[in-house]
Amino acid sequence: MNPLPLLLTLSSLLFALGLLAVLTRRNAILILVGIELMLNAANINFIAFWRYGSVEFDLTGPLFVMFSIAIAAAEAAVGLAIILMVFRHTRSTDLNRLDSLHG
Amino acid sequence: MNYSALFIQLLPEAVLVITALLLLGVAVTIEARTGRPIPVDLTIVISSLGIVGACAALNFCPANPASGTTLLVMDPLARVFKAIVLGLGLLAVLLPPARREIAQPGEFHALLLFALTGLLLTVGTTHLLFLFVALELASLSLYLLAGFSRTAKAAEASLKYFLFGGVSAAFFLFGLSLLYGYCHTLTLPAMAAALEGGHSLPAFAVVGLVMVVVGLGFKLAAAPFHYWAPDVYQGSPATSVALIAAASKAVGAVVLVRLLLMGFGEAAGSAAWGLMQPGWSLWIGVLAAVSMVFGNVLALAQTSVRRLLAYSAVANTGYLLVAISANGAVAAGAALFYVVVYGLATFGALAVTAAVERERGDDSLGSFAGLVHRSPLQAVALLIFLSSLAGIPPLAGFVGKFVMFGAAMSASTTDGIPGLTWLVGLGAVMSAISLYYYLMVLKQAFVREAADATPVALSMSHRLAMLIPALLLVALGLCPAMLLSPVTQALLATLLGR
Repeated sequence: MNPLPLLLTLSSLLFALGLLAVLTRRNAILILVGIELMLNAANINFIAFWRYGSVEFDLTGPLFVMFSIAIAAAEAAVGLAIILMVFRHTRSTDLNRLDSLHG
Repeated sequence: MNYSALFIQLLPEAVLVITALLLLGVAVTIEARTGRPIPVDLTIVISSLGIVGACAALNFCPANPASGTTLLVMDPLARVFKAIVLGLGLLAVLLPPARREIAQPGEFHALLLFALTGLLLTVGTTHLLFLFVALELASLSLYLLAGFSRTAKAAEASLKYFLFGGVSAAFFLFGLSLLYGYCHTLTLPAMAAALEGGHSLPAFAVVGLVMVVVGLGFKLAAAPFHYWAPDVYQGSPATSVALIAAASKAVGAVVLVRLLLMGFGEAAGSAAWGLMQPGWSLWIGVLAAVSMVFGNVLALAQTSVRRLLAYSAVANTGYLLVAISANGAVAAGAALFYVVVYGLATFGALAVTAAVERERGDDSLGSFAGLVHRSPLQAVALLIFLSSLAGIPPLAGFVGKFVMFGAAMSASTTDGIPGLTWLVGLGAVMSAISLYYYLMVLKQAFVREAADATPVALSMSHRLAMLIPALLLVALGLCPAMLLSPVTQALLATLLGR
């Protein structure tokens, strides 16, 4: 049995869960967690397509995943720095309390 | 490719990175010696020299058209837009950050150079892995630049920019993974080859392409992915906003054009009225309509000039998406010309706003009252920038819109009936509406009396940052071929050369 559809279902579920977290959570750190879930869903896709779909031998899939893991780490570092900066000003990471900008 | 060839290929980026590291070193040394941060003027001089050096280095890069598995591409489009991005970056550097906002100008300008490096790399690749890495290098630097000043507003703007950007990057990556699954390759020319034959994409590849377009829509601030834009424009330091509004947007447009026309020309569908077919052309057309309506209508209600410029950015993205949705090389070339002209005008308007803000403390419409008496130079420059944005002849913005809409009409004509009339007509109506809010700002500057008419003092580089775009807009309005034909020819050569 070709496990590709199963893996794609898993990654889609993971992506949807991440998106759900982003849309419903009001805490900046939990939104960041949601974004990481979405990025990792894409990584599963790359590996799955490479392992079960590729016609010739190449390493594009795993290579992409290596890079995207590194970028996700950099993104988390930058994100936490920004959240820390916001926390210094407002003493909270709750997005509902960020309302200094409006028209 | 050996390492020396690779280095020469990367020479402009290498110059920028070396300058950034040098700048950090100098900043640390000066701070250690004198106990005070490096003077802003010095960082401006060093980073401008770096950018000019990178521009010069661009001439040494050998041509390297997209093929097989090339990561770094130096086709005509890349060459022209690397020069343009460097030019827009140089303008952003000339706009000095406010002294009370930015405590560490050395780090600020170093980050700006890193962001420019990312933007340059993004323009010069057709490999989607490399594209993603380069885009993230630019984006991560821009998130930090957006929050660099020590105000609560900047921190909030930066967080919103980051969260929206992170989600859109995830969409982009997931979309890429689906496209990889269908094509089994990540270079655009190979993708185009895999798609050839005219059979329609399977559902998951369509979803992938939609997600990639969503990711780029964020970068371009197209509605409905624009929610970060007003807050970032309002809260972030003017220099960062200038980079985000001009250079980053131009790069977003180039990537979109490259991706759609070079890689997915086969999956275009049609946005022509009555002949609509599913495909990216239709999605882009819908995005264009939503952006034009949203941007222009919401801009009417703004009292903060920076927010007004943000909504005008959304509206202008709509105009250029109209031309991209026509799916023609000439129309796309006109769109790329327009994004540069738009970038110059918005940059100039931001520079004037920054000057007013520094003097009056805020960017509300009332702060612009009597600008013509306080500083005729600024008022006239503002007149040029806003008239160009509104599309009043003989300025470059008028020519840009005219060429773009004309090309969109003729590219979408089948059997003598132009299919995109609905979008172009909407664009024309919305442009007329936009005249109202641009004139509202100009009315404050020229008609209203100022409470006090003390002249405004400006630094030399700030003055240059207003003069250069103003002169360019007038020159490009009188002689658009200076920029239009190189951009269009570069795009045509790039598309045919694949």
